Amino acid sequence: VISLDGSDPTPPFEQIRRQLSDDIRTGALGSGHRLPSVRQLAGDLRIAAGTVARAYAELEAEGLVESSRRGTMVKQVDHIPVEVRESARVYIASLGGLGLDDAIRAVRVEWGSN
Amino acid sequence: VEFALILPLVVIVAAAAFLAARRGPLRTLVVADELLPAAVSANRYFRRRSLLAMLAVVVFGAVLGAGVIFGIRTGSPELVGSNIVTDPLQWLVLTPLFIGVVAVASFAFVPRFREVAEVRTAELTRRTPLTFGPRWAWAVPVVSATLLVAIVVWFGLIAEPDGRMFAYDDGPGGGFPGFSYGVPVLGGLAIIAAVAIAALLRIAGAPRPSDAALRSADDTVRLLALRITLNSVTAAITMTAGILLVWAGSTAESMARTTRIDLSGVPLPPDAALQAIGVWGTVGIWAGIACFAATVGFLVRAVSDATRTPFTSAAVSETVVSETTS
Repeated sequence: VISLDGSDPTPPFEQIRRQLSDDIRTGALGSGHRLPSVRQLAGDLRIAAGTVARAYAELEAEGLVESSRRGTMVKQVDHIPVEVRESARVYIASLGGLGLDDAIRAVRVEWGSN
Repeated sequence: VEFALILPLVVIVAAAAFLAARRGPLRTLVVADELLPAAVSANRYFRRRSLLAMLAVVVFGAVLGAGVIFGIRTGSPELVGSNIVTDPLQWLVLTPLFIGVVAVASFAFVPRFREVAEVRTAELTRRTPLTFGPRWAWAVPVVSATLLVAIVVWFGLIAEPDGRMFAYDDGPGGGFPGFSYGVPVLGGLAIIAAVAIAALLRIAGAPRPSDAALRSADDTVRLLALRITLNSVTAAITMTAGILLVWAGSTAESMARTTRIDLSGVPLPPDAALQAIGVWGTVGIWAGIACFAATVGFLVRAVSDATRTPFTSAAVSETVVSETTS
């Protein structure tokens, strides 16, 4: 399931792209999974078809999905290792109420110093 | 006389519709207070749409049927077998399919649930008509269409080269639904198949609500819409098959009853082949009647679904209050 938050300042196409990208990289959406048509997803989320089409196009440019006459399908990609996700879970638990942006910023700082 | 024959059909379908209208809803739902107007509105839309669709089908069917009967009664005999536009028998054969097209097109709308939530959700699976309802339900129209094609091809192959007569040697013969009538039927079948596929895709692909309770209501509405479409298509096909079978059977049976005479004017007893044609004629007539009975069954099912309340909905607060007081 994908959700779109109308109160989130992030553009709708980016919300869609990010959630789909996460689902594909974590393996929630497996290789060969057929995504809903642009029209169906746009109708369900009550947004313009062009918004979904843009999200799909960006995912295709990232190499996560491929479009053909049969529709948009998830490609074979390397999933994020389970241990990495477990480490991330531990890290999140240790944040103590810190927001996502700050959490990512902290990772980025440490990544740069390494 | 033809209208008198239609009367029992109308009575049975109307009685079934009346009984169906008295039945309870298919599903009872409890929805969040703020979503109750959306559920009530969708329910009302479905029932109003069904009423208008049935009205459209009845009016179209009555006008087309009356036109065909008027054409057969008043038209010049030379028009029979003339061409697809002026031959009233062509229109008689095609009428069920055309009425089916109007029915399918009229029912291809499902209500939208108007939610006001800030967060909208959507499933990441592609919806197809097969998503809703049992798969075996799809076999019925496919099998009936296959049977109709088989009947058309069979009659076309055994008919005279002109495609509208069937004769035995130089003896008896009569009007027959050969390829002259069969090819337009195949065209009509292709049209209703295309319209049905478009309607089913439209029903399956229409936007879904985000709320889980409303999705349950949405499932019910789509299931009913799909069933109405499939039953309407099947009824149109079985009716067409029935007309062809009764027509061909009547011709074959009357051929076997025809008295032939030899050159000296002595009546000839019907030979084995002619007797076999007569038996096939009887079988054809009864198969046609079976098709008409099946048509009534499919129509009753379609009307029953169209007149039924899909669901009733109650707000969570009302449910809590009633449970507390009880």
